[in-house]
Amino acid sequence: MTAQPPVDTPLWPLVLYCAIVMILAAFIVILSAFLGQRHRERTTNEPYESGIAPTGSARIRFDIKFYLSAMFFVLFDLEAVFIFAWADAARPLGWTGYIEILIFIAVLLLALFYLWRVGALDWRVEKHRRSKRQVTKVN
Amino acid sequence: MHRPDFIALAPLLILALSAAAVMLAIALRRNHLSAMGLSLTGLGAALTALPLMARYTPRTVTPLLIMDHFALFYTGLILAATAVVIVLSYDYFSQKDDLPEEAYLLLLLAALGAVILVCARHVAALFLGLEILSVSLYALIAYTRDRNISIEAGIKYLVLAAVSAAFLLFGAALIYAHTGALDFQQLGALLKAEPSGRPALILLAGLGFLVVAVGFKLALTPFHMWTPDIYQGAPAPVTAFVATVSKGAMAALLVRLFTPTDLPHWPALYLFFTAMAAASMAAGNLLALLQTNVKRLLAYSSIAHMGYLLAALLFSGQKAAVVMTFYLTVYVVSILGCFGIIAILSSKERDADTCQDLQGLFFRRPLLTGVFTTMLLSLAGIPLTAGFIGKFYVVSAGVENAHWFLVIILVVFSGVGLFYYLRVIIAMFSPSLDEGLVPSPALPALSAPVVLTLTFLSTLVLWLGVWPSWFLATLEKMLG
Amino acid sequence: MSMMEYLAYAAFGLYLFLIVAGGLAAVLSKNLIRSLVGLIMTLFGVAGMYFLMSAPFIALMQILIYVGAVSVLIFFAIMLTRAPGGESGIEGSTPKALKRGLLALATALMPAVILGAIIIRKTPETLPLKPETALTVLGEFLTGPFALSFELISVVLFVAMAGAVLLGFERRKSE
Repeated sequence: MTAQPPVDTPLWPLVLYCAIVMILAAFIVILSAFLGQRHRERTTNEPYESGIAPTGSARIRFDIKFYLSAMFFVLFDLEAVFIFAWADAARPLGWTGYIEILIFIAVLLLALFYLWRVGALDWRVEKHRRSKRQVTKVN
Repeated sequence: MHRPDFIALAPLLILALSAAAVMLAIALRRNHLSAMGLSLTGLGAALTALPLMARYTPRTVTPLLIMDHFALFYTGLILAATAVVIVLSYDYFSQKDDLPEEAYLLLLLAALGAVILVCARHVAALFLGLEILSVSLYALIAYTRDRNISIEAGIKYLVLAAVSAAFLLFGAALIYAHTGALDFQQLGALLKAEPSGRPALILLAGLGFLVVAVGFKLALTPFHMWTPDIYQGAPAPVTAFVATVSKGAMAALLVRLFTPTDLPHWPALYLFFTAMAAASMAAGNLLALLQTNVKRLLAYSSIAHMGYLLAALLFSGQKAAVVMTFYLTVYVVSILGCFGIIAILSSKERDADTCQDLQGLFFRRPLLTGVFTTMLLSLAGIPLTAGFIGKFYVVSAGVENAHWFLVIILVVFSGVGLFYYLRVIIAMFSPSLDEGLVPSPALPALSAPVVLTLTFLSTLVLWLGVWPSWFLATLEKMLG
Repeated sequence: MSMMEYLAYAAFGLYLFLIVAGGLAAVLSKNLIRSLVGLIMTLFGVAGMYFLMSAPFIALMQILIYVGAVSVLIFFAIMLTRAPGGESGIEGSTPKALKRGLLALATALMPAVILGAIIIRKTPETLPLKPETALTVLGEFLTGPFALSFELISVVLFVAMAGAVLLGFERRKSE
């Protein structure tokens, strides 16, 4: 991402391309709105399940593990951003920079180790965890 | 960064390393006693590093931090307060069902954030320290997850702290847009050059937003609404931590930010600060009169105490550091004692925070009653306790510089404040109303370390109240 | 004005539209998921503004983190806090219309008045845009004078992880 010297390429192809993309997208949507069929019968808005009437609701209670995983993703993503910032200047920064990024990564690696050992990354169901423990106990 | 830099940073580095060690210990083999022992060892090592670091002070380490005697004293105060909180929380959290060890990890990291705050000389350090402290507190306040009131307190604190951090950033951005400096030193020089009669609006707005953030953390009126709910909902040791370390670090930052530039004496800001201090004193003391829950009462009283502290800042101007530090130290010791007693008496389901829980405590636990009474009298400012000396210094500074309005408000509302402290003391000394009819609930067994710590704290309060000259002389030498 | 300046103004207008429309959608829509989509639009607009201020690294990281990770996190939070019965997330009771209107007015006027006064008093000048800071220079700053803040950032992330586990995790009961 170093600064580029100004180049003499013409700009109109880019503008034309953008315009064509937008017109095409609009054209497709408008055309299908005009040409498509319109239904408003009794069962139009019900979900299709191979002709069988749906029973119950499709919503289940989410497990909080999803949220935790998303949270860990955010945190490690932020770590990646800082590693990007270092990486572009890796060579000029020499050994000092390397040690610093090593400390940065080590702290977060320790956090990952902790998460692993506490079991926050474990997606097994309670049944599987119990049967695994029984197996190891027998041995 | 050279070798002297690393030595000057030693307390911070030791604190960070001990937090990492505690996390490793929890990951490898979960054991409550070893987690507590490890964290206490880390704090002890950081405390012993302080005199070693003193040889290299004052020293600016990276553009972010300055390690001078002011930072040294406050770091020591923060580390000592955290150690007391950890001792208090061992028994408290061992009653919990699951995950008692993470509390030590979060307390150490919160202490790290607080230490960064007191050493800060750059807005980036201010923000980083604040965030480390706040994020640790989000988890700590909601620590006892099975109590609804704790989760509610956690959410309230999260939302309000996040909003105040946003205000801080925006204020810092506005100040930067006007002055081009984020360094407190440069900022001070540029602000001195500003005409104090009519400062630029962008600068005023930036400072105003900054004061909002600082006011939230210090729980000054009108930013105090979170305090009673959080103090009541959080587990008692965590409340002790929030009331002492979190407020103390922010107060230290306030001194560092505002005294070199003599900012409170800008006409535009002086009125604002005076109003905040007077309102805090009034609101804190008057609203505490209505409380029956001891934790909420102490919360409102701490709002009032922060009002007194802000008044001390306004009275003393350039020499505010000594007066404010003395008052803050006395406040920290007293509040630690108060919440320590509540923590000791608490059970698994709820904290011992109503007057019913304390009724007739004298007949069952006379030592604890003595400690609690000493602390409450110190907070009220009764002679023979350190609180009296602290208030005396603040009032004498005010009288010297002729800030009559605030001095009168201080004296009047301190008097009003005596009532609610006395109400708690009377409850402790009056015999249980249904004595003999219903057997009183069994109190948790007392452990030696906690009792020793509390006795030590009350001795400190009495010592500072009867013979403060040594401590004051040391403070003047370090900070004057 | 040259072609580039026209394009710059057009881009500014587009991003401004994205931010404002996204913000309005986030605030006004009854469905929580549509609010989230509005928020995502706003974040894209902000990334565009960063591009216009010659900070391409920040703009791309904004898209990577905010749109990529934080929006997903908010989405999960919305999905988690819905009732299993499948309600569509319509907000609960609101105070009377007059009170609501007055509160909204006060909340909107406060920043508008302050910022408006600032902008009017300090007449904005068109400054030449600084050349973009190369990523190399950013890296050098992070590992040079601001090395300590770099390491402290890792501590903030560390604390956030410990806190997340503490609050969100249901520990295995036995063992």
